[in-house]
Amino acid sequence: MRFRFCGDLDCPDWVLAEISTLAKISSVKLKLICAQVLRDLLGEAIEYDKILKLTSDAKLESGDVKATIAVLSFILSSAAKHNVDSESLSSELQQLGLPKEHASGLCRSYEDKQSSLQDRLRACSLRLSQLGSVCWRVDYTLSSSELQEVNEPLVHLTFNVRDRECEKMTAVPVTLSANKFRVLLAELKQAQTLMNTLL
Amino acid sequence: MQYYLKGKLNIGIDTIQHAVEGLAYLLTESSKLMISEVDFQDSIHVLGFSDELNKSLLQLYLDNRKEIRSILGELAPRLPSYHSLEWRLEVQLASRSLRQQIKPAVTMKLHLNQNEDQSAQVLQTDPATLLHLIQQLEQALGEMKMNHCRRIVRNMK
Repeated sequence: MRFRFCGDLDCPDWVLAEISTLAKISSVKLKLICAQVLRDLLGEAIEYDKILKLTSDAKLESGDVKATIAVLSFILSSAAKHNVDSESLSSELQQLGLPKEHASGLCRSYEDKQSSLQDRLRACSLRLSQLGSVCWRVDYTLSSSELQEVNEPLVHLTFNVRDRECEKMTAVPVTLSANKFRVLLAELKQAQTLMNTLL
Repeated sequence: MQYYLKGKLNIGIDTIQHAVEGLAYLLTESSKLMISEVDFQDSIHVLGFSDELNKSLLQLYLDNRKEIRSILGELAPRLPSYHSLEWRLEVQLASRSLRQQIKPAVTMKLHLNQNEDQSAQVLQTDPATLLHLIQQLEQALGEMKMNHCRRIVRNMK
């Protein structure tokens, strides 16, 4: 059976197996656990103690609690990844055997946070490096050891580039003459116009 | 720990150190070779210890050899292994030299693990090469189903 929230593929076996664990928790508590899992997916700190308290009624072992968090993480992030609307998600989860109240509670939490989740996933997408900031300075060379009267402006640029992986900022300093800088600026303006036509 | 033992048993530190090293060597070599009970008993018999001591050494060996073997297994050198793969699909529309292009590409970042070191390799390919790559990998997986591989796997179990 193909499911949209799995990217039009079969549902993974482990997800199928954990649906019955989800059904053991009451639908109200499941919605609260979803809220915690969504916090984790959005990059905020997850409050594991709260989840333990919420699952204590259902008498789940520690392995089952982790499995619950894992399966909810998968369902919510995979649904956001494939841009599934909350009604389709609810019907697909019910097809997998999740009771109706549980599915609708889950999907209501999903619906509230769907666009923020997708924004966060977009920001986490593969990106090799990122420009942090640009600093500049314009100098005027008066004279040098080669020529007594130089009288030329000079631009110093420093690009602060962040490496996505190690969160390190590398400074790349560049010095350009006025003409070179004009060429650079013209080319970048052309690129900007092209980008604007796509937005 | 050595000072504790020295205090309790009243022997020199060197003696204790030699004793610990000897015991460790006995256990690792026996576990490494996975020798049988009989061979172990024969080997330590020549040391001339009391029967009680021989029995406790044998018990120590039998109780711990599985764990020692698993730790020894971890010490072998390893090649970098797959951790995860990030990918993105992009299209080049224009460059400084040429406008009005359509050039699709897949950029991948392969995360590798090697003895707790993480490294990443960035790769880029066009869709045709990607299809070829997928084909090659599927062929490699298909080899596992061939009779030759099946025979070896059956014999290893």
